[in-house]
Amino acid sequence: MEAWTEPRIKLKRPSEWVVSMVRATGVSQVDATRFTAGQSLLGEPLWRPPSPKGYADDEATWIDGMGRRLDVANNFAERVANRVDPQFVMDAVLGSTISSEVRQAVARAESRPQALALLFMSPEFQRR
Amino acid sequence: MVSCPHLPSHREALIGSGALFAWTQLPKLARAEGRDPRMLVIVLRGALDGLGAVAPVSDPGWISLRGDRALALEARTPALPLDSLFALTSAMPNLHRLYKAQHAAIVHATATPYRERCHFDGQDVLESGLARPGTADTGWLNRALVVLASEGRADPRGGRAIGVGPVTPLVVRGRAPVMSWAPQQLLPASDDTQARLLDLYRHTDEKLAAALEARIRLAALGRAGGIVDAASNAAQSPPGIARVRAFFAEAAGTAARYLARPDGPRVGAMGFVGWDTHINEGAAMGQLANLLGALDGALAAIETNMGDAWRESVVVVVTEFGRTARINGTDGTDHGTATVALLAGGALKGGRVIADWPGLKPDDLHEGRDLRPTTDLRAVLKGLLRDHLRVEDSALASVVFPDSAAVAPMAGLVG
Repeated sequence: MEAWTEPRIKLKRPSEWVVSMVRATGVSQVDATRFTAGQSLLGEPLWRPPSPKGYADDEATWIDGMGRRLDVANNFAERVANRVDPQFVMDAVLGSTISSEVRQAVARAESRPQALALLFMSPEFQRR
Repeated sequence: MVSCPHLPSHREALIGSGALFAWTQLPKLARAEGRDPRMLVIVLRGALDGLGAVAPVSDPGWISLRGDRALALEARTPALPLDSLFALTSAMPNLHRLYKAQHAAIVHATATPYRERCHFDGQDVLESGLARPGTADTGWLNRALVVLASEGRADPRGGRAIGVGPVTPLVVRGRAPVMSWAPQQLLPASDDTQARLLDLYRHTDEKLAAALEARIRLAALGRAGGIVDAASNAAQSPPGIARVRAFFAEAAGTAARYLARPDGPRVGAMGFVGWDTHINEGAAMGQLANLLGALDGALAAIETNMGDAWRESVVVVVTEFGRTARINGTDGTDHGTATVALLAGGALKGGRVIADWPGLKPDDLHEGRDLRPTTDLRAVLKGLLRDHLRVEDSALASVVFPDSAAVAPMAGLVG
């Protein structure tokens, strides 16, 4: 199996995940304060790691923040949903790697903001 | 699987944040008649089950469709009688009171021209005013404002916007400038979004499922030990509904406060999410009853905060489509066709359920499964825009609801 077809197993750190969301939606201008506030809320304030070793890079450190990630994803989805089509993001960013379960959850969402929030929270989007 | 065939990329979309988007001009013709009309449009996203809100309790086919999930006059929570055929969910005592005072009317078996079952497209048709999805970047309410002669700004010194809401819903998007306001606290991810995500994780990622479950348990504990909102009947309500009630009431009540001001806006729009009740719908007691109760609280907040302006107000509550007539295998309902439009306000000729009732026998149902639409929702909206705000017939048939000349505005809704 080639490297780029390896299953995604590693959970993205908050900063990686927040950057992924912004990049996936093609938003080119972000409010830097809001952006870093989101990272702080998720426990990874910019330039302020808890020790000289920097931020932890293991799943156990970050997985408990899943609930907060959902609120951040929901908030971001509401803000960008008038510019971003969930189906387009799903196809353009995750393409064929996305599971049928995620595809179905996005298609069945009751609104576009909900569809985007579910996509940002999907295992495929949160793992690398 | 619900498929959405008309999903072009990068298309403008909708949002359901509860923010108010309003027009700050004064309608000239209505003012010339000595009136100062207000109109507020509330979009319910997710497809409201019209039969779960306003039930045809005397239709012989009703009970067999819904069984013990049916709203009924003789039930543990008896529905509130409206006329010889219909009764209103017991979750909406304020709407019932307004109906009795002739300040509310219900249109039943109504639908937009959209006949498929995709939320995104259904919302586009509802808000764009076009007959088909996929081509719109302006909404019918905004186009009505463009053609409506204005007597100038309500507040000539006022700024164009009083705040910056996140995203303008399609129904008010367009050339006419609108101001916006959004509650300070955005509503956190809904219980519905959380439930959908948990279901997804349970099928795809055990670790993420466990983490999310832990958060849900923690949140429930926090709420159980927290403030009990007497009005929300917290003992029977699932966690989160008190928050939803507060959010609906704050958003709608603030909208009304702006519309009531002499120098405030006259036309506004907002959206509420959460109506997609596929699982455990709970029309009599449960999910849907809780949401309708929150909507009822929002209507009460509007009436209160409008003050004297309530006499000249119309609130229009609409949704993208209805739900299946029968209960599905998970005690919910699936995407359907006809539903209700709820109208409230002192300017209405209320106290009526307006319906060309199609019946509920298997042959009466649309495609054998949905309440059949007999009233084009555009007729209702055109009637209100014409008789309340004084938008002209010709503009309604061409600019506001393009190609709708065959759909006559419904007469006699206001006055």
